[in-house]
Amino acid sequence: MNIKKKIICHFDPEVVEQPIISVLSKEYDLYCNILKAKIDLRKVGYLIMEIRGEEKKYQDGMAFLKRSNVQVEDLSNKVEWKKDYCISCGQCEGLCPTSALHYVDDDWNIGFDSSKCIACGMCIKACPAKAMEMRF
Amino acid sequence: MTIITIKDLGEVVLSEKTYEEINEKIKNGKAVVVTAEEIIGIAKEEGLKKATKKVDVVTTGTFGAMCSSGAFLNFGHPNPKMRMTKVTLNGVPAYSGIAAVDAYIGATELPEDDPRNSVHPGEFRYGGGHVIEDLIAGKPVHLEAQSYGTDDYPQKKLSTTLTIDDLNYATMFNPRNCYQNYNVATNLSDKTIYSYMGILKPNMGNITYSSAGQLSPLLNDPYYKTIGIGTRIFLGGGVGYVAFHGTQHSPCGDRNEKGVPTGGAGTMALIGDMKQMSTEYIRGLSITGYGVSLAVGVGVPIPILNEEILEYTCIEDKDIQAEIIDYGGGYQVHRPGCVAVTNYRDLRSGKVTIKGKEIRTGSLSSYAGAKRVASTLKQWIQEGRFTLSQPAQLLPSADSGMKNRTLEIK
Repeated sequence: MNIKKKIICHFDPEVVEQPIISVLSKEYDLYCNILKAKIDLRKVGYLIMEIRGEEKKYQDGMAFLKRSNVQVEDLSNKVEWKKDYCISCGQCEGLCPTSALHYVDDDWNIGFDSSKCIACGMCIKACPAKAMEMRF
Repeated sequence: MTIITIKDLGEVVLSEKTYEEINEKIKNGKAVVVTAEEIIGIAKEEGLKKATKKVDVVTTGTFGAMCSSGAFLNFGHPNPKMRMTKVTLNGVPAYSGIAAVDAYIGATELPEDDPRNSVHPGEFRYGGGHVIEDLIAGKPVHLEAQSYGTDDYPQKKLSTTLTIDDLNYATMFNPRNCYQNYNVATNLSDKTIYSYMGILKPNMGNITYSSAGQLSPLLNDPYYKTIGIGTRIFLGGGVGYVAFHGTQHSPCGDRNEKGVPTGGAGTMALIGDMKQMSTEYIRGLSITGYGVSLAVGVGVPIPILNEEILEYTCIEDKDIQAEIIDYGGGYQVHRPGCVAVTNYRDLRSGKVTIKGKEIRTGSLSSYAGAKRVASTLKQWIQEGRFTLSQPAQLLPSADSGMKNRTLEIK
């Protein structure tokens, strides 16, 4: 059974020196699509990636990450859309790379499909009504 | 109703209605009211003549950022009395160089300690627009005032908390609202631009636009045949009025055959009681890298007095052309010309093609909000709660000679 998931990996400075992605790819046959990364020598960093592969190998890969001192979190719900604040102006929709923010009806109201979100952060900068919030 | 006989054409019935007739129908619950979107389909189906006879009022709407907005407040006198010369509301300065306890809070004013763009782009999380929103929401707002003191107004300093209900007077007065058409923005430079037209990605990475298009008030009465001083309107959730033509009102530029101006043309100064308003239609805005503004919901009813007026209300997004201006450098220096011309149907489709490149578009003005305003105003009129007012003076039109100038440094 194939699995496809977006995750955030947080790691301490020591982990930066290890080729984590290559190991996931070579030893666990996982396809890793890096969506966003903040990696610096001697600094805490994070990776946002989409992983695809066999379910069992995915679980083994996640266990490997845990042993390697990488904290793994599900990406969905990292970006919160506060509906009560939203005025459906559309600024976010025009900038969202995956159309997670999109028009949901004939009345041009905005809605948010968090499963498509890659936490790029554009909407947070763009929203004038402060309806978008990053939670990590 | 007027009947005119033209011998060569046979008898022609011209439906000329008056404000009085329309208001009578409104009071009796018999007025036929539609929105500026609905009229498009009605006129196509039934023809202009039938539609003119049938429809009494077309409601327009818009809900977007309108920076030239603010409110006059009167706090009442403390004991002992005070002649306020420096006022802040939640840390945001309000202009108090008028009388003793009057002040004007402007939408774009920032707290003195706001970092602005010292680390670019700034967030501008709180300012005048948010103070106005907080007042309308009924939230407590902190007032600090200072004075040099006089014999009759001896108090020199005060600090208190108040809500909108404590104010004698809270009147929104917006010197420039509801731009008739506006620039569409892109960015030809190689750096991201943070502007009042949103975030503009480098090398024409995106295009932004800000208008309610076919729902927009002045685009539905482009030569201001019905709109002027004293026109009763929907303002921020309550009843307001057109006070005057707005600042930068510039009606004499080029227009197309539907009266649509090439760029920003007419504007309106609006006034209304803040105590009637709601945060559904008045919101403080934080525009990254630019500053604070105020989103204002405005709806103007257009009486269908004759066929010419009806025809103008049938304006569609595809007929509203707009110039794409380079906010990456051209805009700043008044560079003439534009990158390309587009129209609001294409803009709302989500992408436009310029020089073979497909570019994503993004709206800044809430079309959903504009629809809600137009529908709510329609409902008010249908319920007999809102009658139309004939203006004391129409807005200066294309024959007025009024045109915007730039500031010459002498």
